[in-house]
Amino acid sequence: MKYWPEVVCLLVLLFGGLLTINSNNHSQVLNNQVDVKEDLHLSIIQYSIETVAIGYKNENHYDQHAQRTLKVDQLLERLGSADSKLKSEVQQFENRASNYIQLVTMLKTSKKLIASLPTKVSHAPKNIKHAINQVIATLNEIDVNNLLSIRNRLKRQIEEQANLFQELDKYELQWQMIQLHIDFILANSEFTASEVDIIKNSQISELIKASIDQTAANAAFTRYKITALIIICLISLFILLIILLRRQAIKLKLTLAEAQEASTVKSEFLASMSHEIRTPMNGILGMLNLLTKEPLSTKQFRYSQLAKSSANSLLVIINDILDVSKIEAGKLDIEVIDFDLHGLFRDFASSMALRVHELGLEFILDIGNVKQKMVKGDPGRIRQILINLVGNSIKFTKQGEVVVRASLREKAEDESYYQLDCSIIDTGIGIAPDNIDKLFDVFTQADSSTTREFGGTGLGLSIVKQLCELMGGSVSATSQLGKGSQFDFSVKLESSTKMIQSIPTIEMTDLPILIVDDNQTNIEVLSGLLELKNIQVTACLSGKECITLLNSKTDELGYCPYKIAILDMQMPEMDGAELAKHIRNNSKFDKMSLVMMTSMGEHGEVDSYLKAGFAAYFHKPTIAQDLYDAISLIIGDNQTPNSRPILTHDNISALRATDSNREDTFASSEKYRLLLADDSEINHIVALGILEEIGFNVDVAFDGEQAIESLRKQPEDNAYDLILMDCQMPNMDGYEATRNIRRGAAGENYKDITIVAMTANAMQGDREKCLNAGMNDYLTKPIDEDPLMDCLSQWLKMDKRPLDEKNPHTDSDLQNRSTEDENSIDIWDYAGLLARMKNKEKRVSKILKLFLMDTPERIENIEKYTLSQDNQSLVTEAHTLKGVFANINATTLQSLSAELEQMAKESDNKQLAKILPIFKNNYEKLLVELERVNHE
Amino acid sequence: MSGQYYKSILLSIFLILGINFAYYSMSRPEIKKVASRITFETTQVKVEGPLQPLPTIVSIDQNWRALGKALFHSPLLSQDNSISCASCHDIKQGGDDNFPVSIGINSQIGTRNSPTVLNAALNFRQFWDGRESSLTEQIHGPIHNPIEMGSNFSDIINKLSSDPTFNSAFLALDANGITEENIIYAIITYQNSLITNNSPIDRFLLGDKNALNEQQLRGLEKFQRFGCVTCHQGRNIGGNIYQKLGRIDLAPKSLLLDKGRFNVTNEPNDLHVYKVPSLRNVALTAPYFHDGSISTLEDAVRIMAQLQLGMEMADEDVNDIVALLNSFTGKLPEQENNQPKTEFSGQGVNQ
Repeated sequence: MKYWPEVVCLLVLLFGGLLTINSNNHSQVLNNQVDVKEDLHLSIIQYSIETVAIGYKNENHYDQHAQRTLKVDQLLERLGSADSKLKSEVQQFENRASNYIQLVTMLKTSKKLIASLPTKVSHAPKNIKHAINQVIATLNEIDVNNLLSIRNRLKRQIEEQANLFQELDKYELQWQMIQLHIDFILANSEFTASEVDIIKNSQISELIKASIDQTAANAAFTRYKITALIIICLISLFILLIILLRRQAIKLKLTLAEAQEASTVKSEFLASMSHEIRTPMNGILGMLNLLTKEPLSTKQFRYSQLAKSSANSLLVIINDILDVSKIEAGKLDIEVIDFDLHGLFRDFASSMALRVHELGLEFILDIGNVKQKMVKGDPGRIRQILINLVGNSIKFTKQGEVVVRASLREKAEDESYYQLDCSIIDTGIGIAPDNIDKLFDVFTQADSSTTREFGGTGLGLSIVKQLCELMGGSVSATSQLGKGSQFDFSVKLESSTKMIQSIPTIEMTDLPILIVDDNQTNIEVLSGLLELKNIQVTACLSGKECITLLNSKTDELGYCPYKIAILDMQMPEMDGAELAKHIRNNSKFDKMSLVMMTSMGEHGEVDSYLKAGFAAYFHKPTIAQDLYDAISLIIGDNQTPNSRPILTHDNISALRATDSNREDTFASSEKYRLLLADDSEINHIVALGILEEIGFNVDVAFDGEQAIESLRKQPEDNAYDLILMDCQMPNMDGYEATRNIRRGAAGENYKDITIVAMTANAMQGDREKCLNAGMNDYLTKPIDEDPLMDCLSQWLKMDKRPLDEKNPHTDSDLQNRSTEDENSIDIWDYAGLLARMKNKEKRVSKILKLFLMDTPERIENIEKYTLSQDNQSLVTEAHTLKGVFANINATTLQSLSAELEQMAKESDNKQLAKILPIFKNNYEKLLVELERVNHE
Repeated sequence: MSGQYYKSILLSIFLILGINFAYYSMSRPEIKKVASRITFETTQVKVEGPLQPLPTIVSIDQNWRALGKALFHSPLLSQDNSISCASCHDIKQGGDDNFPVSIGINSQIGTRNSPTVLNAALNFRQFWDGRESSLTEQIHGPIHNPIEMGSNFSDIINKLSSDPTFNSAFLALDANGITEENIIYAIITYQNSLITNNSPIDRFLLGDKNALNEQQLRGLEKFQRFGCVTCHQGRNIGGNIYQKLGRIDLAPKSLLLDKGRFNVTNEPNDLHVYKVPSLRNVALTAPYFHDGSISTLEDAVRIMAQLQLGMEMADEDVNDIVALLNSFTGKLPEQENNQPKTEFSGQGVNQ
């Protein structure tokens, strides 16, 4: 009986209605009764008066009384059976009155008859007359009180003169009749007199009056009842309405709960799907990463790179689908972190460059109007937008250029916010105007034929739209069919107070630079970037123009005014390489350094550019920081262009990387014992590949039980420092295992061990789930080196100081070292350097070249300063050398440099003199080692 | 919880409204209306003395009167369609049937002499024992009495409804058509119209001193002097009070078989008490008394004088009074002299 409240309300309504009608009827009846009774009250009074009047007045017909009777009777009739008591009272009264009338009228007639006797006996003898008069006189004396005496007197009188009265028949008088009438008078006088008193004093009118009051009270009560019933009906209707609304609300709530349930199920499904897909992806990407670190032939390297990029593309699609699901579920979160906006564009540009140039397109990045470098926002999502939009443009552009133009301006209304406006302009096939509106819908492409020709999921643009809107911006597209499209997007960014750390060491103001490019856009972009640094830019549109300009300027001024010339490789008539030859052939321009810009993403051409006399070589689009750094490097050292290694994005990045040598963080990583719990062997290999490369001591477990078992078996003096815990494992999953460890299942010592979750669940809420289970941190698969390292460094609280500073060497140590430290590893750990450089031999050789270029002078300086006892300079020089040696993993020399620095600081010249030969000896050994490795 | 739910709620509400409305229309309280509907007007001239002239009808609803007349003469009102009101109350015969007691359906014999309907509207009560106060109530008596018409209103309405003439006649006068109320109203309107004005005594009372002859004038004098007017007075010359049969002298046993009004009230005082009958048209309504046991006016006058006044009336006086009683015979309203309209004869259903 789910609907009983409605049933109750409806029943109340039904019976309330019926009772209301009933009461209304009753009220009508009562009102009618009141009317009738009031009439009756009046009529009964008139009736009483009329009745009494019959006895007294000289009334000789009773029509009026009859009419009163009729009226009373009709009213009684109208009263119906409602008030039977009152009715019978009235009827009794009527009967009494009727009886009284019968008697009183007859009495009147009888008295009249007696009274007329003297006239009839006028001829009779005197004694008869006398006797009759006596009788009449006696009769006239009749009173209610003296009835008995009168009767006796009359009896006596009649008996005494009986013979006289017998004679009356003679005078046409019937004595018998007279006697009958006298008897009648005697019999009824008393009764009639008392009856008339009763009638006169009757309470009947008061009775009716009381009855009227009673009925009126009832009527009033009934009216109240009706009002109450109507209110009850209305209330029940109101309640019914409320019940309906309530039910509606409950239904909505249920529907909502169902929807939420469905959404949860969907999320779970997505989570498990993403897990299922990401696990093998993790394997593929991880293995490919490891593979590329092995020594490979160029072909193998290229294939593995291609496989990696395909895998990455697949990951991008999977991530897109996940993103769309998240957006639909409203679970996509936007981060707000400090980041380098220039760096973002730079990284993005370098990641796109290869692909764009392979397609033979011009890719131009113009971030000249992005004045503020550090901002707060979600760099990942902005990058995603850029990748989607630029990827889209590239896909639909067969020739021409793709321009990314960004500007950052302060929001007018709030200075702490910026608006990033970015346009992606291509010269592709364009979009029909009709289709532009549909572009940003999910799974929609401009038209189905494009899908056939170009493929794609159609998710990218809808994600872009959602992301822009989530970041407080918008996206729009304009296009001309056949000529190209322009996508504009804007996002809101917060200002950042953080400063970026870079290597601008040189004042570039008014530095004259020449740009040679046939593409006007490129010139604009480059000059824009350079002008940011107040560099004086001169542009030429061709090689010939450039040579003419150089000649005329040089002739005019007597020297070449340009410190640097940036040449585009691909130019009509005379390409960059040819132009460089021309310039180098003229000794007048020797002081001018050349920088090559190329769109061709070819590898292994660096040497040819070096030979051609270029100081630097960059892929377009050039990244501002790269360019600035290159300029700084070129201008900042006075060496001739030829004696310096060519600068590329890679080696500039490497130089930059020396600023933040994170690897040093893990110099002492071997101290740490880690336990890796994961059921997947591939994951083991990937994780071990990364961790062991850094030098961690790692044990593995295949599930939660094994992990706890391993913890328990481990002796206390060799305890684990951290556990990497996969969440989904057979037997006992990561959450369960964590909870057990926290409960002390692996011993008291491990109750508080750091546990880092590794999960392929990339969905929101997983992090909370992990933390709730008692884990300390959370990493997403596929396992990436950088976040893993960040995480480990954070949790292991590894000391960033170099090893030697933690344990300052004593004199005896020093002595020991000079004799014992013959171990070549201590002289120079080539393998360690290679591993740290992620097995990039090229990188290592570049570093070594730079080392060889730089170090001899510094060694000489050390000697010089030691002899001259210039301790101040010695401290500086030793400190620099310490860093340099650390960089190439020359441990002994690194520590010796540190000691030198320390001694110089303490001005311990005696010790300095002692250590210098050892230092020089080790340096010689290092050079030998370097030579040996070079030969190998 | 869907469209079905709301539909059933709405349906229930409408059902409840329907039930309430039906109950409302069925349960309307029955407030008696016939009496209040009667709208005929009369003028009453008042004169000195106990005898009063009859009132004259000023206006009466002729359509209802005509319908009432047809109903009055229709045998459809009886159970077996054998008798009508007029069977016992023949308007042409002084408003009664001239039998000692009346004959009902299936030749059943009643217990009392049927009183005249002429001027019956002026009686203060109806029936010999006055058990009903007005014609409105009286009409139920003969209709339901199993030895009179033995019928009931639902039967009557059914029978009348199957008669197209009655059907249309009722509908022409009232939208409700044939109802108990309308039937009663029609018949009563007709009965109200049966006032027999223009009798010699009325003319005399209204000033025509030649309206009565010598003997009648003597009779009038004796009628008053002897005390007859004690009871027989007023405009209907009787019919406005009760009186006991044998008030002064003991009545013969044969007349005391009927206990009269005692049957109604059970009051000892009401033993042998009757409504004083009107003497209007008394010459036409033989036989006399409640049981119709006295066939001549002379005998009736003698018995009355003896029982009510203790008087042995002389033949001369009796003759004078009978002569007066003859002057009480009036004339029916003009329409009553015409033949009843054929369309209301109810022949279609008559057996």
